[in-house]
Order: sequence, then structure tokens, then C-alpha cells
Amino acid sequence: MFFEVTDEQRLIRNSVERLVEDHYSLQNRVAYGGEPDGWSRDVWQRFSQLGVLGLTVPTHHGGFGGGALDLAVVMEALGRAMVLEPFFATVALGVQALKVAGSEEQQAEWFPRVMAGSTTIAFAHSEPRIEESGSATRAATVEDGWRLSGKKVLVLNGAGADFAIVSAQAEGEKNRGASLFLVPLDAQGLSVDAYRLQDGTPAADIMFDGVVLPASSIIGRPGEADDVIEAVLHAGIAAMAAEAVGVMQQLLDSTVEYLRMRKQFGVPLASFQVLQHRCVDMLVALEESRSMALLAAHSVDHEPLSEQAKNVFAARIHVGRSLDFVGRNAIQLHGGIGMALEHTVGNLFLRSCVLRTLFGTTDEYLERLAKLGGLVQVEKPTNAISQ
Amino acid sequence: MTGDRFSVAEEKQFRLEVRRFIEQALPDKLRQKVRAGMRPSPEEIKSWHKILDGHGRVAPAWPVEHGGTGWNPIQLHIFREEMLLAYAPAPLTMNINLVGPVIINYGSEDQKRRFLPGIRSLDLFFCQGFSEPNAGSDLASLQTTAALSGASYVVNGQKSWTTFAQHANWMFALVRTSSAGRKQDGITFLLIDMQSPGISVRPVRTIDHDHHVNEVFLDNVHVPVDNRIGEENKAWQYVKYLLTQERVGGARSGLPKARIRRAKELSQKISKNGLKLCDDPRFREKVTAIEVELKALEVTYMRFLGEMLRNPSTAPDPRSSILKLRGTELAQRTSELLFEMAGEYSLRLQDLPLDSSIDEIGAEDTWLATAARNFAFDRAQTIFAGTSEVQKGILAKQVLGL
Repeated sequence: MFFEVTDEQRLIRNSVERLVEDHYSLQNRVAYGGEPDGWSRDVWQRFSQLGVLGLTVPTHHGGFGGGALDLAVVMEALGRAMVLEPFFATVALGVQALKVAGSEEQQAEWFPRVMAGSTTIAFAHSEPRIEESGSATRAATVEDGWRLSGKKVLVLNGAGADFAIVSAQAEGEKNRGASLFLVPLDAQGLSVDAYRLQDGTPAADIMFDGVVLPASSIIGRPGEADDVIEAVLHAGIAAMAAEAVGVMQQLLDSTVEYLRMRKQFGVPLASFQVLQHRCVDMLVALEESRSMALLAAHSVDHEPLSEQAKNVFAARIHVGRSLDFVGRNAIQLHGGIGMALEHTVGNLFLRSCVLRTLFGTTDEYLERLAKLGGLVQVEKPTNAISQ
Repeated sequence: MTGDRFSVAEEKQFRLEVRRFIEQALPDKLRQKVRAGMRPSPEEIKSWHKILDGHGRVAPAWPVEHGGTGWNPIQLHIFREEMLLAYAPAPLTMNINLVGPVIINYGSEDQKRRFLPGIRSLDLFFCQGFSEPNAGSDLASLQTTAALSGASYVVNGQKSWTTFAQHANWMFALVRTSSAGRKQDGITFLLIDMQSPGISVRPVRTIDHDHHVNEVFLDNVHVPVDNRIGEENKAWQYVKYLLTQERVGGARSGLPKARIRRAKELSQKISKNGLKLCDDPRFREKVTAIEVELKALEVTYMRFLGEMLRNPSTAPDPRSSILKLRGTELAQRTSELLFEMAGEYSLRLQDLPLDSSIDEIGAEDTWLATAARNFAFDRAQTIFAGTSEVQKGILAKQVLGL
């Protein structure tokens, strides 16, 4: 079956798991979060040495040539430790965008630097709330290039990245789609408001105040980036789903261990059937989420863009619901300890909140999937068999 | 109004009076803060206590001779609800609902004189020393010891989840004075001056990135015997009294109701894909479903209350665990509603304590900054003061006989 983990994937997974086990305790994570970018450059170098930064880079650029299913293996291992380093932003989003739409020159320039660990990327796509800003980020045509104006929010690694891939509406392309631009984060007219998310993830709002960009900064063709953005978001959702499986696995493992160890009323909590069954409910959610995450990755790897959305959205919905269920029950079963930031489980819960809310809530994806007609097709009646 | 009968007209009138009172008494900045999902600072709680105490309304459920209002349970329910709906912070529960009633019911006249006025005014700011690392749901297995030495107890041990220990100048604590016999029969209730030598407080940050709770370490802390409430080794009864008071104490409907109202207000201002949230049938149905559950809780409370008033008995109705169970679930459901409405715009962590001045965080959009944090903190609702699992265990055993 196509969901079997290959030997290669097993090797990659083991090496990432070992790295994380050696370098990513909760204490480590807190320390890395205190670094200037909110993540550890040291750990990033280790990723580079492992070769995972080039996991999805095509082989003719020196990469591993893998796809979403390979990425899923790594994302799950990173998810378990709630890794802060911008692997998702750089590889699942940034490299993906360049892979789908970047020119040979752009790929040849940036892929090696990413793999060497010297460049990280941010993908700046989310806009502020409608009530806050009037219009989308826009790019006006100027001599030999563009001028970018607007604001992007919730940009993962927005402060630590070397450049951002920014979606904008190119002027004069009103009836056409969005465009994507490669924007160095030290560009004039660009300012960054850096912060963390509830789970410690480094992110930023980026303001573009007439940022002048050369013609070569466009990725793909102006006005034709809608499909690229959709492809990147699908890949991103699949990667986040895999990461979520890692988070849920850790939540469940932590809970089972706690119930075994914790005694009240003279007995381990694990002896209460109610709690055993709750863990089973969490297990069911986890296993089904694992399946859906694999489905999404498989779709991204093997299905044309127009076919991907249903499976990807379905995965997002199911994983989102599962994150909600597993997260809240893990806290409940840990009792007071689940509320304390100094223990892992509360941090995993916060991560689960972010993973099921970033880029849209579960309800929003449910609405979108329903609008697409859902997953079960209404069959056209077959012709009656003639006598 | 006579006895337990309270007509609809009288209820309406009373509600109006309460609303008028809160309107003129509640400082506007404080109201805005609570409305935005933030929390009052200790100074704000203190000054609010003094305002309420000045009007004789800080401890309405207490006996009249100790500062209560003499209101019937329905009036108490209305007052509590209206306070929540008006975004007035509740008086400090440790003072008003926990240590105060224990002193009133089991303390000496001298202790009542010494402590009750300060408990009302919040000059005495109490924290609760009950739970320990190994005594959570199984509170009776607590191990903090108190050994009698002359006119003092010498206390050694550790308390956990002590809310506001960092602000408190007093602690009421359960300590073990005997290990002979049943564990419940060796527990004593002490009032401990937080300034005593040997007390240290360690902050414990919670998943809302705020500092409410602490661990408190007691190292040879001397507590005068005069600060023991009631009899030695008899405090488990006082705890049971408290827990049942706590369960019966309120409908817990005010908080969810206030949040639903806030959500509906906000839905008039938020749009998604060109549609105002208040015009989105999915949103409306979602909220309506919660409102129906809330009504079921409210009416259940009234029904239990009515039965209790008609048949007053010393044994509290175990069905009151239903109120804790459902009230806490609805509290969670409504903070979750606000979190869902805020969506990813709530994910940014503002690095400010939730009791900061409201000007520091912002104005109308503050609810976005607090939605995720309050959602996270609300996980504690079904854990503290008896987990939902414990409540169900009580219901199974005491109501269903299972």
C-alpha cells in the first residue's frame, strides 16, 4: 500500500528523532526560544548536516528529490518536540513555492543556500482582518520592477528569515490573479513587527511601504500565482497535518505515562476505566488523523492541483478536530499539571491550538469542503440495461 | 416578597435596582477591562472590595450580622448574574466564599472579630493552601504537617496551585495534625500570616502565559494556636461544608451568559467573506445551541434551589454536582466560542500580564489579544475544585447508587 514507510523514510525519521531526542527537551526549547530570532541557529545547522533541508529539493540541484510523503515523516518527528526552527516555513512553504514556480536561476541561487543552512525563508501570505485594513497587499509597476505596499500578518519566521516570498495583487492585473515576489527582509521601506504565537512560534507582521523590487524578484508570471499559492498552501496543510500527528502522539504518550505513574486514593489513575477509555478515544483520533495526514500528502504528491483540495481540506478538518479533542483531554487527564507551562503537555496543547487555527479554523475548511461538494459524489444514473 | 416566594414582578424590580447600583458603583475602566477579557489587578480588586463593602454588598450571602444582605437565594442569584453581565469583577472567592464562611460557621467570636472585617475589605488578602503535589483529587491525603509546640503549631510542607499567593498577606491552610486513624480525621484548619518566617512562594506560570498560581513552601512556620479555626483534627468536616457550599453556591450561568452577549455584540462588527458574522446562519445556530444549554442549566439551578428551600435538610443535594459539571463545561464552551470567532488573529501572544492597564494593550480589539489566553486558562474549569470526573463519580455513587 502506498502508505508504507519506505526504508529511506525510516532512516530519515530515525535520524531526525535522534537529533530531537538529543537536542530538544522542553528545557532546550525554552532556551532556544530565548535566542534573538526565537530559534536556534545551532539546531538549524544540525538540520543542514542531516540533509533534511534539501529533502524536497530536486536532485539536479543537489537535493534529496522527495515529496510531501517524505516531508510528512520529518514533520511528525519535529511535531513531537514542538520544534521552533523555521523548517516548515523554509522547506514546506518557501522551497515548495520556488520548486513549483521559481525560475532555474532562482532555484540555482537559493536551493544550495537553504541546504547549506545559511538561508531561511518566510512565506508572507495572510492579510490583516478586513476591519483593520481596506485593501490587499499590492504591487505597482515601476521602471524595471515593482513597488510593494501593504501589510502581511502571522508570517512564520518573519523576523528571522533572510527573504520572504510575498503574495500581492499586481496593479493592472485586476482581472487576473495574485503575483508572488521574492523580497529581501532588509529592503528599504520594509519594517517587521516581531512576536511569538501562543505556543512560542516566532512570527511577525511585515509592513511594505513602497518597497522597490527589481523585475527579477517576481516568481513565475505576474497575475498567475493563484495556482502556485494554492499548491503551496496544500503542501503546507499536508505538512502541518503530519506535524499535528506528532503532537498528538506525544500528547497521548505523555498522558498514558502520567496515568500509570500518578496515584490518588491509593491507586494509579490508570486503573480507572473511564480514563482508559478516554485514552482510547484519543488513540482513535490519532490513528485516523495519521491516515488523513498521509492521504493529504499522497494527494499533494500524486494528484493534479484541481483534485487535491478535497482530500487536503478533509485532512485539515479531521486533524483539526482531533487536535482539539486530544489536546483538551490530555490536559484534563494530567489535572493541574496540564495547566503549568513548565510541563510539556500544556505546551503541546498550545501547539495544537495554533496548528488548528493558523491559515483558517476547522469550521472555515468545513465550509470550503462543503462548497466543493464534499467527498461523496452523487452518481449519475446509469442507463437501464436493455432487455 | 415573603419567605421563598418571589414574584416575577418583584424579580424584575430587584434586577433593575441591582443594575442601577452596579452602574453607579463600578468604575468604568474596570468594566472595560473585564469586558475586554482582561483581569483586575490586585489593587483594583482591593478598591472594588472597598466600594462594595461600603455598600454592604461585598458578601451578600453571609449572615446579616457579619455583613450579609439577608437576600433570599433568588436575589443572590440575580445579584451574582447581574454583576457578571455588567462585567463587574467578582469579589475574591478565597475571602468571601471560602475562608469567610468557615470562620463564620466554625470560628470563635474573637476570630470573627479579628478576621471578618478585613476579609470583607480585602485588607486581609487570602490565598488557599489546600492542594499539594501528591494531594490533588485525593485532598485528604495531604501531608503538610503541623506539630503543636507550646502556643504555636510548627508547620512544614508544600502547597500547590495557590492562587494569588504572590499578592496575599494571609493563607488559610489544611494541615495534618494527626496520622493516627483515617486520613480525614487528622486534618486541621489554620490561618497563616504570609509574612511569617519560613514561607517562600514560587510562581507557576500557566498556559495563558500569566502568573496566578504558585507553589508555597512552609519551612518550620510558626502559627499561633489562636489562628486555628474550629477544633484540631476536625477540619475535614469544614472542607466538606465548603465543597458542598461551592457546588450549591451558584448556577454558574452568569459567566457564560456574559460571554455569549459579548460574542453577539462582536458578531455585529466582524465580517468574513463579506458576510457579517451575526448574519451567518451557521454562527447564529452555533450560539443558539449554546444558549439552549445555558437555559437548561439555569432552570435546573432554580429547580434544585426551589426544592432545597421547600425541604431544607442538613444534607446537601448531591445532584448539585450537575451544576458544577455543566456550569464549567459551558464556561469552556463560551470562551471557546470567542476563540473560534477570533480565529488566527488571536494567536499572536502579547507579552503583557492579563491584569495590566487596559491602555497598555489596546482598546476595542483587546478581545483578540485575550481570546486564546482565556480559552487556554479555562481548561482549568473542569479540573479545579473537583474535576468533572470526580463530580461524575459523586453523581454515580450518591444519586444513582452505582
